[in-house]
Amino acid sequence: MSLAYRLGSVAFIMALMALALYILTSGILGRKIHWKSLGIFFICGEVFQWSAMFLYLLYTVVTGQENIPSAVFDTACYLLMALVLGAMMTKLHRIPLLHTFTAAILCTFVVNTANNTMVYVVEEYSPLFDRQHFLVFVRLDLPYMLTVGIALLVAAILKRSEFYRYFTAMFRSRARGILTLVVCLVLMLIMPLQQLLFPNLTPDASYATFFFALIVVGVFLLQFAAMYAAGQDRIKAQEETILQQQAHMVLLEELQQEIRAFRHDFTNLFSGLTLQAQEGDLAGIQDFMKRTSSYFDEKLGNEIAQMDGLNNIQLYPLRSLLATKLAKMRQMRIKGVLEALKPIDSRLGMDTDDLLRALGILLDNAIEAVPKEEGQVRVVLLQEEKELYLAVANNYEKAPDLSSLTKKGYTTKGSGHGTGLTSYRRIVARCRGCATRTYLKDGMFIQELHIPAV
Amino acid sequence: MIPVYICDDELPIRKSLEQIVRNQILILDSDMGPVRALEDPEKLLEVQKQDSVPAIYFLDIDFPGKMSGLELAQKLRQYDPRGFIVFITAHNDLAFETFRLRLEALDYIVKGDHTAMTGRVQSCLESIRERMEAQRPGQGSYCTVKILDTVRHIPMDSILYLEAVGLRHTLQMHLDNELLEFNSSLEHLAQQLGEGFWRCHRSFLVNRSRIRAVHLKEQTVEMDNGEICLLSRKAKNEYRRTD
Repeated sequence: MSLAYRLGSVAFIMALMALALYILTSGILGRKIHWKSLGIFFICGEVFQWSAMFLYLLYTVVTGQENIPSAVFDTACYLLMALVLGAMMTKLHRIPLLHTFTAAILCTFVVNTANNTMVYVVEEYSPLFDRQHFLVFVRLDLPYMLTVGIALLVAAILKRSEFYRYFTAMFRSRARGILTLVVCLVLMLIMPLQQLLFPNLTPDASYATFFFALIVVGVFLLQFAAMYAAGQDRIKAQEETILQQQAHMVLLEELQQEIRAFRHDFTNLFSGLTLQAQEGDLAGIQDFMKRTSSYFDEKLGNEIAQMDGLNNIQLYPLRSLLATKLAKMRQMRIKGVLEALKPIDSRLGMDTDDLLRALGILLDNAIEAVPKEEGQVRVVLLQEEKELYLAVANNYEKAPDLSSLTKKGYTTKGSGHGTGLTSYRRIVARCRGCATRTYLKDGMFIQELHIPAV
Repeated sequence: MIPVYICDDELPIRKSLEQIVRNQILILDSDMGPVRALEDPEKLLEVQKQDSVPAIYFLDIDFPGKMSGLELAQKLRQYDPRGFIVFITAHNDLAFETFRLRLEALDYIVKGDHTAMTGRVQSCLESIRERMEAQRPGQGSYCTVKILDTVRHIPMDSILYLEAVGLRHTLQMHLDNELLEFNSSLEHLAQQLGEGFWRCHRSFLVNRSRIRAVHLKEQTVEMDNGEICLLSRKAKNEYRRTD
């Protein structure tokens, strides 16, 4: 057999390995395969694996002993590859590195185990060949190809079952995230450790099947843990919604109180008017009309407009958020205006969580920026055919400096503040097709957000 | 001449408003006109395209059975992004913030009292005249940006610089007192904006006429409002050569 054929085979199986890793990782993360980065990863994978092999050879030749198995080098190489893959996914899909790295490590374990199983299975069942090329094909290429097939299958299943949602739930707190990472690392290290500690154990097909079963159980456990965590999060979210609804109820009650007071006022005014009418005081009546025509609007117009606006927002979490913030404004004696002329539905090109966070930041900033006296915050939402238009405007004491607004951590409030706008920009940048506009007009500072409809 | 349109489905309002507008234009002695009063919003959309833009529009807030004033204004805006829109309404409580922010409506006029209407029309026309005069020097060069469904004409002089941020083709356009962020590429904008702009860095495109100083040592470009852009080595050499 020629050297070129040998090297070619090795390169081929290494490429297959990288391919399987990439497919599975993007499956766990629930993203589509990005061909350009797959290409880059191919090259990285080849380089790392070749250098691991070369280093191992160098080591055995130089020291002349084989007391460290090749698995150590392989593990180091796979760790590096997982790191590269994680970094690439982070950059590409804007997912935190901890998530992607853990996913990559988990994938390495799964792929390696699947691959081992396939190797043993093929070894067990393949007939003997006297033609070496074919033997190489069957013994080496076939199991790796099968591994890629398994990776494809698993990735498809994970994507279909929206595994990533559960997966992110594992990273809600830092400790939980690190624990997940450690568990995945341990899983990955089982094989090389076993080789290191019990070098005489010769694995076979049933042994590999045992490992395979271990993965299946492990993945199921992970999924259950994640589902449980996601359920907890949902309960928390529901509790929050209940709190926000209570705020909404308070608004309704206040409105009712005011209407009652208004009714009381009005009966008094009218009894006065009746008296004037009896006396035939036409000028007095006209004066009364002039004074009271805008009375209702002044007293209740804004509250009623707010209720109308809230009722038009059919995206429920968004409605709660706005109700809460409007209640807060009322408490702080800030005049809050909400306008939503048309029903707002949920066909949005932005994740609801992201939308809530973005709008929450804008509202909080507006509430903090208004002057102590006569503060005003105006919120406009307008559902259009192709976009949701969203604007938050506030008056201010000192005009904000727009040129430094994009700088990281810009704030008017001293140190420790200013992270809001940075995360706002990050959220918006994550949403494809979103556009923002920030400007000053007629004494108002206005932040606009355009979100494309889907 | 700036054409003036009045669109309201109630005849008496239309007549009296037309009268007021004509008188005020005479008093102001401004180059506004002709004044056209129409009943049907569809008709207005047709007529609008036969005359020049920008124009002034006095629009009713709703036309029962036809489109709403909001829709009408949105359609008018598509053809005339820089026009002046004033709404006519029967009551005080209309949602004016939406009109002001989304459609950049100038003001609104409450139907009814003749003297109050006259005063409002006068102040509208005056502010329009002021704005037109303020715009005059920079007229001619506008940059058209389409953000989702909205077309905006931005005066070139008001653009300080553009910066590409992030990986996903997001552009930040820094204007006087305004900041826009949208999806586009610097290459595309560089082509559209032409010679007046200088690509001083891979992710910066600056308006040549708004540069205060080029700091070769620090490798930065300072704009006339004090903002700092980066200067690449390539652009630095280019700058030295042309100097």
